This record gives sequence, C-alpha cells and structure tokens, in this order.
Amino acid sequence: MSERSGPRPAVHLDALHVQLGANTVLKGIDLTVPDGQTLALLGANGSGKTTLVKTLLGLVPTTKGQVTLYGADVNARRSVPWSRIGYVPQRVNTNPSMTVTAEEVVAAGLLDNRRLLPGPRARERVHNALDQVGLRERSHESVHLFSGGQQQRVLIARALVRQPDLLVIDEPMSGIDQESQTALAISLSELQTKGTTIVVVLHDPGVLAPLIHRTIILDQGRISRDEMMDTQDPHRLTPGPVTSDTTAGHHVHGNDGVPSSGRLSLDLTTGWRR
Amino acid sequence: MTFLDTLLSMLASPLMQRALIIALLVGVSAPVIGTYLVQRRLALLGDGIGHVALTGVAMGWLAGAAAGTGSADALAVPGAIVASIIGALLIEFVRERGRTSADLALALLFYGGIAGGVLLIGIAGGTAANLTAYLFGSISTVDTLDMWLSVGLAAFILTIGLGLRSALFALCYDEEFARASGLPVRTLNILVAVTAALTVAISMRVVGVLLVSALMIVPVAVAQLVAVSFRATMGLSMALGGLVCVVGLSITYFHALSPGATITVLAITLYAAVAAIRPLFHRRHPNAPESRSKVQLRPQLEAAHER
Repeated sequence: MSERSGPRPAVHLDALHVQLGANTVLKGIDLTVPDGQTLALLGANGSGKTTLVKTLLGLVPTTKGQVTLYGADVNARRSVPWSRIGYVPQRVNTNPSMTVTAEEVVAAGLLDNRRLLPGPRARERVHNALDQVGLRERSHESVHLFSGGQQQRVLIARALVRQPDLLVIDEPMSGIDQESQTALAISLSELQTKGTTIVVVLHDPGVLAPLIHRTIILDQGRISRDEMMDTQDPHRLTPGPVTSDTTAGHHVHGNDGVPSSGRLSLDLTTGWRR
Repeated sequence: MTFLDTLLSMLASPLMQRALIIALLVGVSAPVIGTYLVQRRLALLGDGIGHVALTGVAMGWLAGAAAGTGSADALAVPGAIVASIIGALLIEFVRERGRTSADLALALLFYGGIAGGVLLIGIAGGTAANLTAYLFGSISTVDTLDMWLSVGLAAFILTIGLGLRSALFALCYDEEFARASGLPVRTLNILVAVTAALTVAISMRVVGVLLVSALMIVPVAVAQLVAVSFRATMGLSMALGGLVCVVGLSITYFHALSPGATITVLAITLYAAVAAIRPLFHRRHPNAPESRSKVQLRPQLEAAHER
C-alpha cells in the first residue's frame, strides 16, 4: 500500500476531529490523497462521509487537527488555490425561489477567490462544460424543469468548468437515472486520464467501481478500512453483472469494522461498459 | 386645459422634476437588490430594515435638535442610513450564526424599530404629521440636496448590484458552493446587507418605511412570472420598477393620492394582471410539478429566453 504523496499532496488530513453540537462526528482522521488518485469514501449513513468532505473544503470548521489542500491550510482561506478545486454537492437547491438557467448555474463555477467576474470566453467555457455532461442544447432552460439526474449533471458541469485538479463529489449516484450515472462515469474517467485527483463519496461503488484506485471506509467517524485497488487486477476488467454479494476476497479482508449492510461489500469484479 | 397641457405643466414644475427623477432612480435600483433577496428567501429583509430606519429618523431628529440645526429633518435621512446599515448588519450576523432564529431576529427588529422610532420621535417633539411623512413617504417635499443624495445612493446600488452580479448570483443561489469556490462569502454578504440598507434609505422618501419592501420585491415577483433566467428577471424587474414609480407618481399629480400607496397598488395590480393573463400564453409555473412536461414547454422556454 505505497503512497505516492509528494511534498504538497492534493489533500492532507492530520488527526482531524470535528464536533457538531454535542456529536463528535469525526474522531481522528489521518489521510493523504496524492495527486492523480481516485479515492472512494464509503460508509453507512451517519458515518461522517459528508462531514469529512465538507470539512475538507472548509465548509465545516475543524475542531482539532488540520486540513491542507495542496499544502495550504483550508482555514487560511486566502492561501488555498481554490481555482484548482471543484466541488459537486449532494443536491441542487431543492426549494428554488426563482427560475435560473443551466447556463447561469454553471457560470457560477467560473468564479473563485481571485475572480469575481466570469472573465473572457465565459460563455464558451460554460457551453463546453455543459457539453461534457450532455446538456449543451438545454443551456438556456430553467434547471428546475430538469430531472434529478440532469440537475446533478448541471452541478457536475459547474465543477468541471473550473477545470479542477481536485474534484470532490458528494454522493453523485444516489437517486439518479442510469443515463446520468453513465454520463458521470464517462466524465470521471476522462478526468482521470488527465491526472485529476478525485475524492468521491459513495453509498455503493456501482458503475464507478472500475475507476476507483483506493477505497476508504468510514465507521462512526473513524477510518475502518483503507485499501488500494490493484488497477492491474485482471478480475477488475472482467465484465459481469452488478451484484452485491460477489466480493473479491483478496481485496476485502474479513468483515471487521464494516457495518453489516450488504450494500457496502465491494464488488471488484463488476465491469463497467460504456 | 387638455391632458397634454397638464402633463406639460407637471413636467415643467421643478418639484415634480426632482420627484420624478428620484422615483425613476428608486424604481430602477430597488428591484436590483430585491432580486438577490428574493433568491435568498429574504424578501422581508427590507421591511425589517425599514422599521429600524424609522428609529434612525427619530435619532436624526434628536441629534438635529441637540446640534441646533435649522430644520429638524436635516439629519433624518443620514440617521436612517446609519440605523439601516446597523440593522442590516445585525440581521446578517444572526443569519450567519444560525438560520433557525433569523425570522425571530427579524421580528425583534420589526417591533423594536417601529416602537423605538415612535418613542424617540415623541421625545424629540415630533408630531403625527412628521411621522406620517416617513411612514408613508414624502416625495412632494424633496429638495435639490435630496435629489443628489438619491443619485449618489442609486449609483452605488447599481454599481454593486450589476457590477458584481456574477459573484452575488453565485452567493445567493448556493452559498455553500460559493464558499467552496473560495469566494469571499462574508464580504459579499456584508455588501448585500449594506446595499439593501441603502436601498431602504433611498426608497424611504418615495414610498415610506412601511412600503419600502414593496418596491424591492413586487417588481421581482412580476418579472418572475414571465422570465426564465436570473438575468432576465433582474432586467425586467428594473424596467417595471421604474415604470410603476414614474406612472404612480404622475397619477398623484392629477389626483390627491399618497404616492407610496399609489405606486404599490399599481405594482400589485400589475402582478395580478400578469398572473391572470399568463395562462393564456401557456407559461409554466416555476414550482408546479404537474406542468413539467419538457417536450411541450421547450419552445416556450426558448421563446422566453429570446426576449
């Protein structure tokens, strides 16, 4: 389990504790995500996955410990290279007060700590990002008329328009249609070949399984398992049906610390076909 | 005298000229900040600030009396500006801390502001007539200084509201994403609060503190009935705001009516009219799930965007 962490890894968490109200949600997380790695963050509901990614992005304050992004402390907001970081939240503004177009939502992704204006070629960049998720021809339509999966794709486009080096995605697969899941898998595999670091929170690896380099399982605020997926593994490339009980035994050792939910078993033989 | 003669005499009156210029500026700039507030579900923020502004007016009177300025009203508008900004920042502070108590904080400001204002005006020796001028507007008494103050405030509101539209849109649409993008969220929030406070201060002369929010919100509500994009909503609400303010004020030149009330009733009538005729054009309601048939709606949405 060798880590190719450079001097300034994309993400570095050092003894991270996060307390929300009376709850200690994260209890000492140490984690380094080197450049170019695709890391899947799994765990049962309430295990702290979403809190972990939100803390990682400075959206939830750290109680103890440190988060650094490319060597910059996330709490020193001005020093973080925000333009290199893209975030896809779990869902769209679910109770919109106003109609906005897909184009307008995506354009928000062009801004960062140095850029309060969209800049030159903004429209072209926005349309390219929407093209990447297959929604270019609907760029002038109100996102509130889109399906859940299409709204998710708009949010992905909003992160992609930044051309991020680090992409953080929170539960992209829950409750979205097959077409959108496949669109996401294609987008992620393209980013992977460009060397983008990806941190993705998942309930179930599903169609994304073949893309994952490393899996972290969170259990009650602690890392209960941290495994590298052997990308050369021939089993991984074997196409097969998506089943939750075919666990590749030589990668998942025993069942210690894993909540007994069948959804959590890693299926490394699941093939992903375009 | 024909209608045209009356119209010309209205336009020839220096008082009406100043009043119309202020009404136009307020009508165009109030919906700019209103669009952001509606998007954030803070449509009533303007009311909260307006009530606090009344306390500011009274404090301005007290300060004016203490300083021995000629007119009691000289420091009223500056007082309102200061109180509005403090009130807006307080609301922003509460909102940032915890959303659950934000409406309670707004309520406290509403009642505290209006009660404090009435008490202080009494102490300052003000009369009911003085109070009414601020509660319901007093555009017929504006002087040249008022006009230039309004021009300056409107220029600030339009510069912030239009110049930073991308960043403020990102903030109001999805504050969490804006934060994760590295945007200076706190600074932008303060800017929205201060700009809203200045909008209240500028609108106070036209419609009064009780109706100040109507100018910020109602034109946006009308625009929302027909516009698809945020950009179109803002542009249309600015045009409608300017229109109802100028037309409403002009009506009060011919009939002895309260300008603030006339403008507000006009805006709400416009809302009702647009809402009533909209189904004839088969427009969809933004929040009605049963009308989400994409195939049917597409040409209309596209047509709406072309405008």
